[in-house]
Amino acid sequence: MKQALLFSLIWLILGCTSAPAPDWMYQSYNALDSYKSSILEGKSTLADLYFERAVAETKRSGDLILLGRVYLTQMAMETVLQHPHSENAFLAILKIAPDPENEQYYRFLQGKNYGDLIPALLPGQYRDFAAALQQKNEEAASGAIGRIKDPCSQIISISVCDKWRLCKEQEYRTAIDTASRQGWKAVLQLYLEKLAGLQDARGEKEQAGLTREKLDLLKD
Amino acid sequence: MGSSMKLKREFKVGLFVLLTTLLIVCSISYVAYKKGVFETEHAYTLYSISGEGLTEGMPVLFSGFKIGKVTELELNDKGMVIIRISVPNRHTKWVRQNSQFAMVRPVIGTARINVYTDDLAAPPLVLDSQSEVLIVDDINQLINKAQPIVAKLDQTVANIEQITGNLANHNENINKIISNTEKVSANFASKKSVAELVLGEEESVRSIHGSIRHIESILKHTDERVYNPEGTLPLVNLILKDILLKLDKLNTTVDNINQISTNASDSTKDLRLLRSEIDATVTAVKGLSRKIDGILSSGKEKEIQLP
Repeated sequence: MKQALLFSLIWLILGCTSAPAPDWMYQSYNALDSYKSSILEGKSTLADLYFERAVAETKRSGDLILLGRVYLTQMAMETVLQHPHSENAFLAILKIAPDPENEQYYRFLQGKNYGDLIPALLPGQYRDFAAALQQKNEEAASGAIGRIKDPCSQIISISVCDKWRLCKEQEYRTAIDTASRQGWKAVLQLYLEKLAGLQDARGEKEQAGLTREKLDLLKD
Repeated sequence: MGSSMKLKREFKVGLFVLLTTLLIVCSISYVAYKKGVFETEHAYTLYSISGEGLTEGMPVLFSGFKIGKVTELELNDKGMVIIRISVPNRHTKWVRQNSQFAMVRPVIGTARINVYTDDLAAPPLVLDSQSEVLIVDDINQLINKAQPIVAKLDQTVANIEQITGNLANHNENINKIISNTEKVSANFASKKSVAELVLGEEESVRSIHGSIRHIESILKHTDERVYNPEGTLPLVNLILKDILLKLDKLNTTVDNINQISTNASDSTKDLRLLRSEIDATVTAVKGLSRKIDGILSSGKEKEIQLP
């Protein structure tokens, strides 16, 4: 009787669910997710492997807009880690398959010509922040960063803010706290270094020394 | 009568002068005709990067025969030397569009322009065209080739001079070597053996002889010990026989190892089969886990979003 009930329950669950996502979608999503966490943790070799897999799996779909998003994700991570953008592949895709959202996000990451930026076409979490940037309103930008819930998006917006040299100690500390909570060692080290630089610039030598000592202790 | 005779003589003289003049004119005309004075000439224009060695009147040869000459030389605006040659009508057949012109400056003889035509059936060279003249400078090439040889000869002569100078000087090494050789040969003549010559004294030679005799006696003893029925060699023979027996046994072992490796190879094939089966199972499990994941995520598609 119990077996019959269990069987019925499983059948009911299976019946209520729709068909699972296609294999390529599942694989590419997971690979890209692993890429993001690996690169932010500082495991660049592993991250490269995951990224290659994400690209290969997305290519299976033939969807160039999605493939563009994969490359944009890579550029977003490069923005966070302040590496030069690997933009050739994305620009080639944009030429063949133009997508306004992808294009706007690319401009957002570039940190140039914010006058041409259309915040409405950016992912929801960045719209307020982009609008504040356009107005060069530091307080509004800082507030918008604080309201971003997704840690990765928050770090990306801090990096973009830093490109515009609008970042203050508060943003650096937010980045350090977020990276610390998520275990993103590469980001943590980068922003500790930035914070030390900022403290040096303000003449707070003691504070800067303490930050650097903390950084040294965290290094491998 | 007298008047008629005088007229006759004057007529004859006049006729003679006229005929002679006519003959001279005809001869000159004939020679001029044969020389091609009346022949139509074609002027071709050539150019060269250098006018060195070029002179007006320079012959133009085809297969060693003169077919024309250089009539004019001038420089154009680009600094190239423009060479005008005239070729009589009867020789224009040798000058074709594919003809190549080369100015040759031989070691012996005067400079000339040679015409090389591979295909005589090619269309004739257009009069207002310009062809390049290549420069074949035999003299300079010869000088360039001769220069290193002359330099080497110069060095060789200097070396010979130094050697002869050394020979002439009594204090130089060669003379010292000769005098040392003389001393050695004189010494060799006064000694009884080479050993004495090398060692220099008889006592040492005697000592060496003693040592050799001692070595001979040692070798004799060694022979006795090695070749004796109870000596080393029969013992070595026995050991070798034993080793051969053991090697025979080792052969069997090697055969066994071969068999084992063959079995291992077969097993590897089985392992591959097993691996492919495991792969298939893993793929199936992956598919299943994906389905479960799909169920657990309530069918929500994990579409890639911008971070």
